[in-house]
Amino acid sequence: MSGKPLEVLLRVGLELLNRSAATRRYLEKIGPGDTGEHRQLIQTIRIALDGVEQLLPQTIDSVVKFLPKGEPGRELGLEVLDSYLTKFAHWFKTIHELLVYLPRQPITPETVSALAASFGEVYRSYQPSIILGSLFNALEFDFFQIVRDRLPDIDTIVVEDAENIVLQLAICDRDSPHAWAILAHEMGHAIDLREGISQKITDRFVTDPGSQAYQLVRSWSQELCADLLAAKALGPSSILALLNLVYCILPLTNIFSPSTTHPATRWRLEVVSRYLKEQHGDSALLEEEALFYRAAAEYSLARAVPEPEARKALRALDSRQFDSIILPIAEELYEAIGAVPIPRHTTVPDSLERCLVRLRQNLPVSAQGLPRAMLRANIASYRQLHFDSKADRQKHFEELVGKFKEEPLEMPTIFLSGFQRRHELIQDACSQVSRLSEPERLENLCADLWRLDQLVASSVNTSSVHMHIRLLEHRTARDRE
Amino acid sequence: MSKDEQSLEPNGRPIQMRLPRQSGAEGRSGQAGGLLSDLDILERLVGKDEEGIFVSPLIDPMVQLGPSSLDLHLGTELCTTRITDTTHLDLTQDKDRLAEEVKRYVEKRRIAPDEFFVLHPGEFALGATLEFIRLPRDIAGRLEGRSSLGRLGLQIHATAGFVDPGFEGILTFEFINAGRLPLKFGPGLRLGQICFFKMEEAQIGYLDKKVSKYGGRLGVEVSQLHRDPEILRKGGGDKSGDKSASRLDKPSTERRIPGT
Repeated sequence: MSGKPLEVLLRVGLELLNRSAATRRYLEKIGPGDTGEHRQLIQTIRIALDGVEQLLPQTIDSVVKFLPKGEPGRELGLEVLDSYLTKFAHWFKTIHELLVYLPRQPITPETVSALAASFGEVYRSYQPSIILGSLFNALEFDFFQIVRDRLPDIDTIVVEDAENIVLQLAICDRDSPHAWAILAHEMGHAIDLREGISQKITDRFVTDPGSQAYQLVRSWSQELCADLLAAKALGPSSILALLNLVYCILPLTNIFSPSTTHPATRWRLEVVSRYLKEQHGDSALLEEEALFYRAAAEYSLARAVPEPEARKALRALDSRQFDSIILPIAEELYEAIGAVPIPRHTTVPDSLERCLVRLRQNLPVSAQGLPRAMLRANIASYRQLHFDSKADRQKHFEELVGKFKEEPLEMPTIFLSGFQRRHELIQDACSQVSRLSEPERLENLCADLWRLDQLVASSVNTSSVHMHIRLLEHRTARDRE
Repeated sequence: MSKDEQSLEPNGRPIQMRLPRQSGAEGRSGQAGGLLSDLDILERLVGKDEEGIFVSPLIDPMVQLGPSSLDLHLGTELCTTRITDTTHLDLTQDKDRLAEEVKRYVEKRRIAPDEFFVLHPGEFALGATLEFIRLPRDIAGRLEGRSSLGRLGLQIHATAGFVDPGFEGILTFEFINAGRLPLKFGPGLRLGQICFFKMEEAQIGYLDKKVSKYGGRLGVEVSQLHRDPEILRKGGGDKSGDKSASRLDKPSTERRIPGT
């Protein structure tokens, strides 16, 4: 095994536990219902979840505590932990799918606000429906297309603009802003479909639409296009959200290799990272996360392909595919993405840093004005002033008060600062691997991540109201003119 | 009128004045027992960590800041009462049943930034401020209604307008429409105001109390009466805590520095 297998497994355990806790909170939101008709189902699912939540930290603790220092005992211990995590991942996936039997909650208004603010007018022109799904994933599809395909003989089904975009979020991610960012990628798919970006690029690379190569390039360029559109609108957060999801399915699949529908996540990470570095210069956090993710992918490869020689051959193939297929597609996409009329995200490092300071203090980050130190200096200067009259005093005081005005923070900044804080919490916990394995420690970390989710969601919400007020002010001012 | 102000008037001659009052201790505006003035409030808003009052967002301080108060806006969460078959709320019963009945009695609702809510005459609802507030240990707050809305019959707190030192979170409005016409309002409306009182530093801040039920909240919270110790004593149920709370959901009021 290569890389940092213990750290990788702990991260997998943490992401699983975190989503398990989120699912239980979702059950609490449903409640028993007035008639109690779902009471037994909820009770059964809750008991199963309790099992995951209790056993997972205990298992990690007991395995890590007795993990021998030297090989091969250590490797054996890690295999034990790995096999337990595979079992937990299966359990959790199954439990999540069972949620389909329960009444479905609507998505939170913040989810819509975040996407609407990030994609601007384009979002409003698509008016997608966002629903929660039992699949442990995020999806995008055209509902009208599905109905038409399944009911081909009913010609009377007519939708005004013949498009009914649905974005689907996993049920367990309903209240987790760090997961909503994935929806930006799904929104990217919808835009790509209408604009035909990946279609044009595929046609440029492969001429025979009936060939397997065509399908492969088409699927891969669709994914890369959606990633880049999401990165343009929301910054690095969308791909960071994807990584968190991938850790949960790592025990069930080989995340190193690409599939026929999706390019390897490492490639996607690299493509987005290059784009953000060139266009926006803000991929620092992405680089740190990418480093860890590469270790996870290496671990996954070692797990799926035990023979070193076969692994070597796979790595060589991987590198060839990236250089000969992915990079050329990405180069084309970088240019095409620039022309799509969605807002180009901006994040100011100084502003991000201030957000991070607030999140560390358990405070929300919905708005920002002048730095406190500057305002303090302004007050000190005001106190030194000598006034000629009451009017003079009023004028100076109003000037001072005006400086306290805050503006709503943009979504990319709120989300990225949330991811930075998340990264900080996880890094901090993982820096002492032996302590992280303690059940209490893992639980505290989950509680901190939950609080962070609440802070980010609340910030998105407050910022949306604040933006709405500014919009109304702007309209009123325009009407006056 | 102060001596300085009296000396301004007689002959119209510009007089060098030093009107703003100096604060007491450096960086700590106001005197114990006193109501904070506009300048005191500003000074506290940028005070250093432990001493500062945190209020965010400050959407329009020119409009929000009064001579001794700061206006607050309505957020997006509301809690209304449901029509149920419950005949009454028995405040003396055991905590689990009380919690369940309260849960059945109220309904949480969300309104989008561009949506509205209608409060009918005599109706009661809970709302939340858009602003998140954190008070230092030497400042207490008092939430009050706004005169213009009071004149239309809107009361914004039924009984609990006091904000303890050391509190942090959003504040809860307890709306009652005492007028005769339904009132329509939505997020972002300035519905209340808070004034601040300087006091000697409290020994135990609100969040450090053994039972602080509403601190740290980011949304409107229904009554947590069932968590009162006297309710626990009267009840025959489990006394170890809320059964529904997981080990992974430590109450947000529990003071633990994240990452430890």
